[in-house]
Amino acid sequence: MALTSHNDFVARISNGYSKTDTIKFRQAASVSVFGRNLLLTSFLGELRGVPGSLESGVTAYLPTSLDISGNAAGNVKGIGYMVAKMTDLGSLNIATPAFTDGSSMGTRTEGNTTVNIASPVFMEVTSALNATPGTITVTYVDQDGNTAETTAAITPTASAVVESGGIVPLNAGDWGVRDITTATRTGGTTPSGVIKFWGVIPLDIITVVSDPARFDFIYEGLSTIKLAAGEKLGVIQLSGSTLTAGSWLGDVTYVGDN
Amino acid sequence: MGNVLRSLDDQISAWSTYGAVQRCFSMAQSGTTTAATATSGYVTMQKYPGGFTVPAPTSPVTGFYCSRLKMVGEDALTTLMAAYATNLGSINMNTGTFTDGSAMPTRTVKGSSVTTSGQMVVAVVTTAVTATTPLVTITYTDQDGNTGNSAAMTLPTSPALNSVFNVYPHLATGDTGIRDITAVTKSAGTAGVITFYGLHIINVSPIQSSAAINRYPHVARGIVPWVCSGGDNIQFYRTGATTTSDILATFTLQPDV
Repeated sequence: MALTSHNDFVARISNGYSKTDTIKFRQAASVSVFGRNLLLTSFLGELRGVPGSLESGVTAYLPTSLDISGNAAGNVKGIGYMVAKMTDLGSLNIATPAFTDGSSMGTRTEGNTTVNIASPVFMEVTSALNATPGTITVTYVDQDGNTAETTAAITPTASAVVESGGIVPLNAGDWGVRDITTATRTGGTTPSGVIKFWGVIPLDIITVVSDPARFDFIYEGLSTIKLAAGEKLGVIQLSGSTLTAGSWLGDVTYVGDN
Repeated sequence: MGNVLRSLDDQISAWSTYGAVQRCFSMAQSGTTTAATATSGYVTMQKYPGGFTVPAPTSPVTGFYCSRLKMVGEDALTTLMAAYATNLGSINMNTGTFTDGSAMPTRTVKGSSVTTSGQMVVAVVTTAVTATTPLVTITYTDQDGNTGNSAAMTLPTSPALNSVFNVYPHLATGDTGIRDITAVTKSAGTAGVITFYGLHIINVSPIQSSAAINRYPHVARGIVPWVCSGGDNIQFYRTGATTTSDILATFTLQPDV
């Protein structure tokens, strides 16, 4: 039976079905943003995920709170961090080019109905791009499930370092994708590098005014998400100005669902 | 009336049993829009393209409450707004043809079904308009159900796509809202479409510094939110600027049982 009350959460914690994971991120000074870049984003990293097989008596993990602090005031204050369950939509090796498909956004039960869900696509450079990476396009199934369509050309930043990225600019009227069916690279000179594509199911956006920042998902957000075996949370930094270097430390707590 | 707001445990039970809607929505306003004037709503606004359509629930879930909404914008000193939007109708600025939409929906307020008017009604340029200071006259049913009242707005010349003009400052004397639009006429124009949306506002929040975040924890604020239904459309707006911008929003819709 799922946890359905505050007392259920307290009982599970008291019975030892909870855990706390340390989180640690680092962002390089030279990270760049491309794609749709009016609102700057960078993918800080993934939290240590739920184990591949859950312990006895636990059917899923429910994140209940997160604490985060950074090492420099300029990085941390006044901007936001989106904490979300990450879906690997695939990755593009721009050298070949070769697209390695990931998962679709899949379905969720929402309002007692099975719903196909969609998400904006966040790009992450996982292997640095060279000085002449060419342009890339992404072919996707939109939020309404229409026949796959292809974006306009996206120009990655030359020599973009790992952790660079941004939001994929979708076609007019589209805000999200259900799936990426393929991606490719055109042009460039001996292009090299890898770009990963992420979809998200958000927990929330936390704002950091002063170190450390704390967010209690259940008591302030009044909802959470269930992480099945092998799934993980990620943190995406949001900024209206330059994304700067920094290190972040913190922890996330989970309660085991039954 | 559902159980979602009767206790925190009811709310936990509802999302745990039936599932809440949780999304990240992001959109770019990639073109410059047109500022409002004293004859066209006063406050400059723009609409982000598209919107989020609420999925249809299955019994025993009858609708959803927005329990949490956060919006991020990258420009300081503007305001972001999220609202449930009803298409009240549109006018073709070339032919002058009015295409009727829907009336404002009934919503559950204090346990009763209430015929609502929009908290705000906006004229949105949904296809770029070519017209020299067009006079647009809107005939509507007011907040009390009286028919045949009119609001007249003189729009700026050729307003750009996604420009937004607030109708309410131009309502007939004594009127406070619109339940339905029954006709729209225009004095000039050779191209474009203007669509009228009635809004039930989820949250309006200022962005004081760049990339700041506003929040809408309805329980902490003591505000009972609108119950929305499957097919309802959540739209996002920005006030105070005509420049390009991005919005990123995360929200949770709790199932109402």
